[in-house]
Amino acid sequence: MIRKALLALPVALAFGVTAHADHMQENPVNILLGLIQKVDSPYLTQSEQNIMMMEDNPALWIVEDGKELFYQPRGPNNVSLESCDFGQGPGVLEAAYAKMPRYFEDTGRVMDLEARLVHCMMTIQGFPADDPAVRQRHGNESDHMKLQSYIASYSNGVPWDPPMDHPLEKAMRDAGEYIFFRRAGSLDMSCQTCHSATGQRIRASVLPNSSFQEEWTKAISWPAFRVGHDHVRSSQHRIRGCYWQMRQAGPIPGSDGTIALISYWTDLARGQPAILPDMKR
Amino acid sequence: MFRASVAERSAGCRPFRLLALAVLAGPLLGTPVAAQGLSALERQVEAVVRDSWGDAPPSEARRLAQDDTQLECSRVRNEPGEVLRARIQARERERIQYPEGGLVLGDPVEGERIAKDSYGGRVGRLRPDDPGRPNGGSCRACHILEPRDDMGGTLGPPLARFGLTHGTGPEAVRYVYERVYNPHAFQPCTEMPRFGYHGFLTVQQILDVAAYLLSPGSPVNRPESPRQEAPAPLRPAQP
Repeated sequence: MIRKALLALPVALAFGVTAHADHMQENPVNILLGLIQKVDSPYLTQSEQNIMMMEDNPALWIVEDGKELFYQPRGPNNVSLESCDFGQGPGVLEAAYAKMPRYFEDTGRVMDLEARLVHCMMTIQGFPADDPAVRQRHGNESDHMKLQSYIASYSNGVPWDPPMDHPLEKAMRDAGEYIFFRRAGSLDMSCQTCHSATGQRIRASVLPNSSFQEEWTKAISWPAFRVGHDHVRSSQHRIRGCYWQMRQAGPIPGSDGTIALISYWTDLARGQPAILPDMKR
Repeated sequence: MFRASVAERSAGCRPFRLLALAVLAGPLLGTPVAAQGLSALERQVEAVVRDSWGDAPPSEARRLAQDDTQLECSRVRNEPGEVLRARIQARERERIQYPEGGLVLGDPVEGERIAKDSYGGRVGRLRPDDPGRPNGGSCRACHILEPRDDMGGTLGPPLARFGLTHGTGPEAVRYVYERVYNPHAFQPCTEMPRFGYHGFLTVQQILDVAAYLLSPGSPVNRPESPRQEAPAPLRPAQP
């Protein structure tokens, strides 16, 4: 029933996104609807309301804010972020985020989008580490969420494809797998506790299964507008929230442990199209 | 404010366990190190974990350390073989402690509150829980507790009408108490937390939850039959 109603939506939405960002070929909701058409996933179809609202995802406005910010000369060096290399060459944003985390020679580290953005803001624009532009990572008003949403939107519909060529990229993925299954804390939990079966609910929320690629791609599609938070949220925010809920201690933002988890979870969704920006419950 | 962002770390020339990861990427992967009981891979990633959670205060950092059962279950991804099953089961059974006053059903009303309360144990800078306030059991996050409970989770089996098949005899009370206190004593590497063993719930709280689950007058054991249809717009969970 829900599925039938949803399948009628793409026609109505086909040109919905053009009002917002002209670099986006397709409204992210169409990517989601394509997946729903392909597989039977209680996770993907759990909120009819959210799918209907996705056409007017507030995150699309945040993407627009990010676009403005990206090309604006800023920081002590008064330059834009156009020379920042996200892995595809300076200023190339097309499909860059879908191919992260990745190893960067200039830092000798595997970096996720947030870490790379911090690096460029500090080295190119000259922002000090304690400047709010660098330090404030969360919330619709933060430079980070605006810029991350904008950069990620260039990977909407692009299959996840984090490179595994450098030994450190492989090592980070493997470390992430280990951490994903690592039970600890007074609730004996790991990521696996909630993400190893299809259709299971925690309270009323259907949980995504990490080994069901078509639903896992939506689960890892951050930035996403979290309806319950009324904010666009990042991958790093999701990790922080999961560890908070598992009653373990919070990881250091941008630490190798968090990037390792993102490497592993992105690898699991390899080949499936990213939904960017997404909208979640 | 976060003390150690990735930028601050790289600016401070701290290679952030790159060495550790480089070793991990190398041919040593998986070599067992008998002295510590951890493989090379495990030791390297444990170093990353320690660093990545490194600015938690000691009271919180201790949550990162794995005990024997957590480590063993993580290693086998919660699918222990026969030998490991027996070892974990025996060990966890030994860890169950009993109330001094004996196993007496508690207060079902208080038990209901505990079963549905998710408060407690959360740490961090933003909204840490008050350790002075009693924890809840958050049972409902994973179990449907009552015949008409649309908000219960399905990670664990439904418990609606649990008492109707178990009664309130001493065996039933003992079973529920032990099962909540330490579920690994019954099902090694189960996803369910060891509420008593970790002290997440007190002995009295567990007896209260047992009363909620078993008492004939409890909402768990209401005579109505469970709803047949799934509540819209949720899809029914697969078994």
